[in-house]
Amino acid sequence: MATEAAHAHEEKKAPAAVQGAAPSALQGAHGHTSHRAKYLKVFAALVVLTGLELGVVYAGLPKSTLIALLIGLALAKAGAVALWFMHLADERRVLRLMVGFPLLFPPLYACVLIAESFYRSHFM
Amino acid sequence: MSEIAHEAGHGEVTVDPDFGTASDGKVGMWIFLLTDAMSFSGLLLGYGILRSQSHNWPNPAERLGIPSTAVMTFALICSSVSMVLALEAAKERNRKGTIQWLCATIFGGLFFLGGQVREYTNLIHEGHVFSQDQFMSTFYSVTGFHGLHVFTGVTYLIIILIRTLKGHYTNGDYNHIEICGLFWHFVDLVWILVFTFVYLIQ
Repeated sequence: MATEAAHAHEEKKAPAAVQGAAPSALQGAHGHTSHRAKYLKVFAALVVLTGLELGVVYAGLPKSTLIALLIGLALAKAGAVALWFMHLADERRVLRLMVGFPLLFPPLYACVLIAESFYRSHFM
Repeated sequence: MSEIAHEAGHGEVTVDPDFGTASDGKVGMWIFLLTDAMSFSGLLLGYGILRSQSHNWPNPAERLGIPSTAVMTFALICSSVSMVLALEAAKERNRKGTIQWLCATIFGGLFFLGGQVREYTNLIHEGHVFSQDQFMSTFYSVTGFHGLHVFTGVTYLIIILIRTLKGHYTNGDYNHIEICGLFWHFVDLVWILVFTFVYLIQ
């Protein structure tokens, strides 16, 4: 693979990725843009969401509401870590799909198991 | 891709048509993390199946210390932040900052491991051993597997720290710190899910 050709492709195909937050090594050496403010915002969001989780647990909510809220909060936190701390938001679409697509299957499998369990408990 | 990515780790701008500036090592770590995510998914699904089919599943809050585990969770989140700050310092060629933030990350990991040892010790003294029931078996399996990851992550971080002390990674070649960071953040990410499914859902 020719580096120059790759450069041309990069500029042509995905300028957003070049301008985005995934800095190259050279940018790191010369004129690296700091992301500290963004990281601290994510950190604050994670702390707030963890506090909310604890609040929800001790709020005495109905079980189904509690489970839905806790799973939603956990997925929001996990998503924030993957997107911003692991820089998935700044990666090319191929890498994002490579990571994201297979992760759809465990929840899908969980849904099948829940449906199967529901069927067995109600219809058998 | 390998040739280009190898160069990327040594301070040159190189771009792969599909993966952009992501190095071979970074893509490789993502693939490994995916396989690891499937392992954790299997454990958590097994936990869910056993729990849903049990008629006398205990309330986790009656056995486990939620507040102390919340502190451990907070420590792991803090260590994730210190990890990205170590990477930022490495990108800025700030050797002192990189070393300080790596040390803070290692401290966060050790704090978590210490908390887990304390938790296991207390549980065992109270008679909540691995073979007590399905809840304890799945609890020790899931959290033990995660703890092994934390231990591995701390070991990995210590190796990166030693190499940083020797002068690596702060000369524009921060690729290894970024890859190590991916693993560490994954450990944090998984814990977020484990904390919810094993500790919080009652």
